[in-house]
Amino acid sequence: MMKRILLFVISATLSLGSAMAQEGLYVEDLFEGRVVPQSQMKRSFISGSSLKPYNLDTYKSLTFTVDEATFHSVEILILNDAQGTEDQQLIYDEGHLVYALVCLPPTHSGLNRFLCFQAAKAGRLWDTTVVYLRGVASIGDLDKMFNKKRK
Amino acid sequence: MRDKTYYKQLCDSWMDASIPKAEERRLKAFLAATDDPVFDDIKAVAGYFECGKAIHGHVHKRPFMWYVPASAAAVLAIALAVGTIGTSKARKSELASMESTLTAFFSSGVDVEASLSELIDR
Repeated sequence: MMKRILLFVISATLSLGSAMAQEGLYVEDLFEGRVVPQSQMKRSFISGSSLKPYNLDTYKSLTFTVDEATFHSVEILILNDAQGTEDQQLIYDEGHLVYALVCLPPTHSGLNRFLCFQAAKAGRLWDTTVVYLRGVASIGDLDKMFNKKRK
Repeated sequence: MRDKTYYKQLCDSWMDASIPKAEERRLKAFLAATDDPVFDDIKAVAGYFECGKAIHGHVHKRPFMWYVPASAAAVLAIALAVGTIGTSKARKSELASMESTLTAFFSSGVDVEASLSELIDR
């Protein structure tokens, strides 16, 4: 019985931790598979010490290909999260959001959070990538690390 | 009385570990008695083993009960090593994928540098 209680507490803690990673964000629906079925998404979730060299503690990415209607739903989620943030970069192409870099409000513990979105039309479908980052790294740090154009 | 060639053959058989017990005893008796320098080498080797036996006595065999936990520990160690290597490879692959995704994002063909600089300068 004690083991079951312990198992429940551990599972609950892990679920809570996972849910809180995108706490209060509209894209949480996306990461939870409520917009695009999880079976249709390529997911990559990394957290912990392996992200230390990047000054990050959470990396979550989703890659999926969806039709126009679903893509529109995803666009709305991204735009809702971008709304009200001070630092954001949104790029549209023919009326569709194709690129977004949103500096989300930091966590209570002062960790920076970023939402990245990139999409490209492939025929009638949209190839889309959504990334959520959290850590002490600033947008400048990330740009230095990953922007090969600057090097 | 057997000749020198016979004992040389016994020496070869002894070195090959193919000598019967009776002949081994005969060879040992011969080596203990002979002063022929031809057999000095084999006497040195035989003496080394006899000396070892005298010092260590019988060979200590590990009790059977130790084999089970020792084998289990060995299997566990191998499993952990394989698991760690597998996890490490998977993690490296995940990190490489992350770097690729973020590099594609931050180095995107879309001209975002100007606006990004604006964000960075704030």
